[in-house]
Amino acid sequence: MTINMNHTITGRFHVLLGLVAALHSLTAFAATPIIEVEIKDHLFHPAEIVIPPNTKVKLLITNLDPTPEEFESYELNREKIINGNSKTVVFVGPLPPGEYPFFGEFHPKTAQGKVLVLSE
Amino acid sequence: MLISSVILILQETLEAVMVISILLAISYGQRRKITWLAWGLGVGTLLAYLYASHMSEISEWFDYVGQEVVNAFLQISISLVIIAYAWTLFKGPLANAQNQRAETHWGSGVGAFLAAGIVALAIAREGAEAVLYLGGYVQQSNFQSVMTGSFIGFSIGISVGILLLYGLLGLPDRWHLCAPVILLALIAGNMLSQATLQLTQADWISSTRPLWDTSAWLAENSVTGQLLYALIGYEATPSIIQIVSYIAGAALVMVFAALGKHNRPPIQDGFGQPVSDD
Amino acid sequence: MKSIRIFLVAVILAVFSLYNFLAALEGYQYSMAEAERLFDKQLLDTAKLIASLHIEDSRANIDQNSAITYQVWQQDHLISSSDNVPATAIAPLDYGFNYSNFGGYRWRTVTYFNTESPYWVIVAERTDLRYTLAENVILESVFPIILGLPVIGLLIWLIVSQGLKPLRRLATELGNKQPHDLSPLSARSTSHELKQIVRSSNKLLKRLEGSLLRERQFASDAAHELRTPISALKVQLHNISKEIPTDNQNIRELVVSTERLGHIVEQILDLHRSSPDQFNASFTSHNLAGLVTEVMAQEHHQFESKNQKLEFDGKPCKISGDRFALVTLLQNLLSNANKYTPFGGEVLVSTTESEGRVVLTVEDSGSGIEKEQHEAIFRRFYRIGGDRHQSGVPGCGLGLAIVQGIVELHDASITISSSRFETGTAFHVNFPVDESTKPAVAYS
Repeated sequence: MTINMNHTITGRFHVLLGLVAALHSLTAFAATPIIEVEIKDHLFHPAEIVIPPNTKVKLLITNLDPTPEEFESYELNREKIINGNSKTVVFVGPLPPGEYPFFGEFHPKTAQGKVLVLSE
Repeated sequence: MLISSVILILQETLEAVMVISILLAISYGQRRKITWLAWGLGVGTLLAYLYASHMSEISEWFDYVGQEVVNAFLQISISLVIIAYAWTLFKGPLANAQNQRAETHWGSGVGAFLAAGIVALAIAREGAEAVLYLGGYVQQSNFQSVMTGSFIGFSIGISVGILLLYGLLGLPDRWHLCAPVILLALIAGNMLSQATLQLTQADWISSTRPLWDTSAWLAENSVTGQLLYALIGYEATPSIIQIVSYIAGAALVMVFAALGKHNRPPIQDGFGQPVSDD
Repeated sequence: MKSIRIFLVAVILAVFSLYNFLAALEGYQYSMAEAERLFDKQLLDTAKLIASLHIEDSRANIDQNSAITYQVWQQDHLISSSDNVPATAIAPLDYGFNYSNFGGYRWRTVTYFNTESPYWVIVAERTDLRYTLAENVILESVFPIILGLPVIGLLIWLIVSQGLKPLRRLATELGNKQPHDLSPLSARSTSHELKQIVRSSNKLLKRLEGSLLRERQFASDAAHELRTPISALKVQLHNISKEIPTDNQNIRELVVSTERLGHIVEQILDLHRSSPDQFNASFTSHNLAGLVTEVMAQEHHQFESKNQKLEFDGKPCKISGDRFALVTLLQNLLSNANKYTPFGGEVLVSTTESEGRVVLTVEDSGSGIEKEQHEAIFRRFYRIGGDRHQSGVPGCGLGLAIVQGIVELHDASITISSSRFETGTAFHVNFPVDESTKPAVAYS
């Protein structure tokens, strides 16, 4: 089973403690949690993704812009093109606690975000 | 925008340019024709365009990991073609003062075909990314800035390629073939390692922790980091499977080059009689 | 590494653009950091400015697309803000700089706490616009380098060409050398780097000339020395033949062989005399047609003995040349035609004048010469078929080598084609017309 968590960002900071708790309780089932991320106006929504430590998660990235974007992270060793008006999947983790920035390589000045791996 | 265009286009250019420079150095060293370059560039550009224009559909293959699978396929193909190329390279009699043109031996035809293949495959993947990147900006106001940055990145890439080519050609005679083959081995290892990374990203290979982290010492996104990435596949945080596949790819090239050398067909002696092979 | 010029232009241009662009990037990053610092300071000053004002519940009417915005918070209460912000805090209520996404843009934010009246002031500026400004400045400075690149490339090309001029001059001088010209290269006006090449080449040329001279001298000296004993041999043979029966087979063959030996020695001497470095040219004007008929009359008996038809066709035409050499040339061509044409065959000699050239043609109805042999037959001692030479006539393979030497002496050329007969060969010797005898004004 999977859980679908769709975040809408309203402020700069939103530490989703509830989400962390939910994910953590689910790791026992070994299902890969899905986190949805949107790209709009060359910005990531949400710009911060919080995941539990040592857990593999599936980022479902939807590009709402008409232009292509490349999800890239040196820290996560991830690189993937998302064409305009389409979606894709990037697997992240399992990771030790820490901060893992990612950016849209085609618009790196604005499209920035990070994966926060928080221990319980 | 400028600096990111520079880095992105430099990244895409360097890999292809390195491969082309190394193959050109071998061709010049052996006094072979370089028609393969035109074929490689032409077919590579076509493949890049096709890949870019079908990116949306390809991305949806295999439950949204089609891109990773295609990239891994291209990278594994490059490694295999480099291995085959290394094998044919030593197969025929070497070009030297006595044997001015190696054109006649069978390996040169196959070699040229393989060289064109390496170039085409290298351009296909990197080129697709560049096509999408530049294509996305055509309509936007900062297109000039992006084009300037791209031009600078491209120029740096080409300049590095030219210096690498003449550097290789300027080496002493006994390194003429050895040095390019060692570099090709590194590229094959790099490609195989990148392919495993792509498959890890697609979750076809399970992810493991990086063995070490040298990002503080040399960041991957610096110009030096990009150069080293293109030349020897520098990775700040590699996983064990990446390192293993890197070593395996590089070792296979060296082994096949040595095998080709060992199985070299008999050289005709001055009287037209084949010299005994064993 | 096939071309020095391409190597130099490519490497210099590569180093040039690499250095310039890396320097530009370094400058770019420095300028961006500097601009960032400045903009941040400005942003903080704006926050301080707002904080110093008396703030009441208010909304500043700022355009939706404006580059700047602010919020003033008192505890959890938004007491003042511009129109273009959401109602939630756009940055953490914690002193310092940050980035935040809202309203479809990415913003640089600064949060400032006013201690006098306890509220938080957050001022934000759109990142895309602040970068654009800084970037335009950099672009202005990088653009001339890019535009200048083709000009620099052209300049480097020209400079390299200029630098390679002495080399090209040397190559031209070597290329223009006549095949037999072993004179030294001119060392003057050549660059320091090429002096050694010129010096070594000249040494080599000198050694070559010396050894060639010795070789030829030896052959001619040997031939000359052989003349006397051969003459003596002939006299002795003549005397012996009177004492024994005339139909003695051995004596007859001995006579033929001695004749042949004499012929070879004469030919070697002719070859030596007609070689360009030996020849003491005394060029005078001659009527080629006259010379031809003269030589034909001399050699007529050869053709009669083989029952061959020998004809001449041509008008008087003037060429400049050495009489002895021209006669030797004609003798050799006629003797060749005679030898390689069967009994009852035909030989035609003609002279024509057209387009400033005088062409002497000697053609026969012999068996002809295959195209592949056309170059080889001018080599010394070369005979078609080698040791299995078919004609069964005396010859040493020097005739055409002598002809070649004389042709070169006269600045003429020789070509071979099929003859006008069913089979056979035609030799065409192409002389320049003797300008000195031409009337200054041509009458039409």
